[in-house]
Amino acid sequence: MKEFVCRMLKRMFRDTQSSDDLAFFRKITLFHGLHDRQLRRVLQAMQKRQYYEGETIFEEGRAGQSVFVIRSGGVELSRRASHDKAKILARPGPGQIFGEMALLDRQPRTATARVAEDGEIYLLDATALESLMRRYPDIGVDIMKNIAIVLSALLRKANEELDKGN
Amino acid sequence: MNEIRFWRAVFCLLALVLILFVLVKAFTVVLPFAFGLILAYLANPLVEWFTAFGLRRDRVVLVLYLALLTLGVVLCMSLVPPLLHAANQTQAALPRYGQELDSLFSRFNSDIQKWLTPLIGAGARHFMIPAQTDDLLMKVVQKLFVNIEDLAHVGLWIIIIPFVGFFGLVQSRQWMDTLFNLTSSRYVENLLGLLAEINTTLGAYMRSVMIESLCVGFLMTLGLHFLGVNAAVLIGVTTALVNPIPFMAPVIGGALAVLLTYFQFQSLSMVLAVVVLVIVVRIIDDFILIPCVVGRSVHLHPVVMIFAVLAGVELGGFLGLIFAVPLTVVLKVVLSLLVRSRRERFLIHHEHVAT
Repeated sequence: MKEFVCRMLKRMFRDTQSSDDLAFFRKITLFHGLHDRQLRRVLQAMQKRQYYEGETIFEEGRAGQSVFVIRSGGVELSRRASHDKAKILARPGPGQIFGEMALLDRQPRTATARVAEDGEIYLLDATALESLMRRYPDIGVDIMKNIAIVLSALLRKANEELDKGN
Repeated sequence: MNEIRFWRAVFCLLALVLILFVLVKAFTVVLPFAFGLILAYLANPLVEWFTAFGLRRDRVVLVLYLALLTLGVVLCMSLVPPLLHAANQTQAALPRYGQELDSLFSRFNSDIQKWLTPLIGAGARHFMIPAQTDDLLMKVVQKLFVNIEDLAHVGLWIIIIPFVGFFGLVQSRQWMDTLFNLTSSRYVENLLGLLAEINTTLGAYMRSVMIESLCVGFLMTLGLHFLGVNAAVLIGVTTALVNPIPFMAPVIGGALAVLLTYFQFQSLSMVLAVVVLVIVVRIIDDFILIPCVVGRSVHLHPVVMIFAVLAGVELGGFLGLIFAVPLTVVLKVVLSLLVRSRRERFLIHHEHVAT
């Protein structure tokens, strides 16, 4: 009887829809080390939007304050090169993040992001993240550590490219 | 391109004017819906706290509503009898209070006239306060109840506010998703930043003011109870209710406490004790609660607060008084974001020029 009641209550109250989201976000570098409850709190602070091919997500030179997580579809990151020709830097896809530097410095974007393929993208605003980190410092420690890992990987890659160039 | 921008701006302006016109015309209809959404906004952190455990949002809201309903019934059963008792006692004693005030005024008038007669002669009899206090008190009480009835349509509001609040809590995520899907992709980041900033500041302000009001009400009730004042709960609840309106708690709560204590004990020493209590509660509020609880959430200069309250009263009457400070907080956030954005654009422009 007790088992039956427990099963009924679980079926009534358990949010099965968010399980898919959790499984997806757990794989993302930025959220490594967060347990389910912490991850759900981060998800509550995020906002999703449906993007369509050709839409500009952000432009190089404009101040940024959000990090973007691609749930589905694809994005093209480009940078103005000489003679107004754009140089494509990367084409991130599902499960990848971009714009993470804005979380730390809120400085102008160093690249332009355009939607290459229709899809769903999640945004995490720097203010919302700060507020979350003040309330739950353990979440903040993990996310900051992960941002440092992401940025150090980018720096390593840039150094390698510089070495190749030389 | 410029022409498209111009027509887009004109369209936005017209839409804004139309929305404002509808809001003003249908103010009394819009009001309970606005209160329902405010209720949802205030209760949202509690719902999100539960959903972080992997619970379904709609079920959590349902259980919370049931729990709040039960709590409301229990609170009504335990708080309403003493409140009604105190209100009845006060109402029954109103004519006596009026007579006492009348005799106080007539004594004051005769003293003044006696003091002035040697100085200005027969003209001194014109110096008097024409007080019909018992009539005045009854009129004030009657007018208060008539106005509340006119304003609120209480029965309808009791249904609409929780109804809107329920859907606001259950579907707020979907509503936000729709809003962001309708927003141009270029402005999504700005809108998200603006909402996050407003949410952080306003949410913290509202929650902290609620905690502060509860503390002030509790301290007043406790202090008055120890002093033996019969209407301690009534005064405490009134003080807590008016506390979110800046500068009103010491004026309304303090005046009510002093008057009811005077009428109950007819003793100046008891009135003095209540005045000391009001001052102590103010000191605790001003130097401990506001800096620790409210001060961290929003920094509004006292002069700005007074201006906001006066402007609120002028523009929106009683409701303007209630919403003056929260709206000023939102305005402050929007203005500071605009200033920051302009400064960033200026810096970016100068960097481009420099390179």
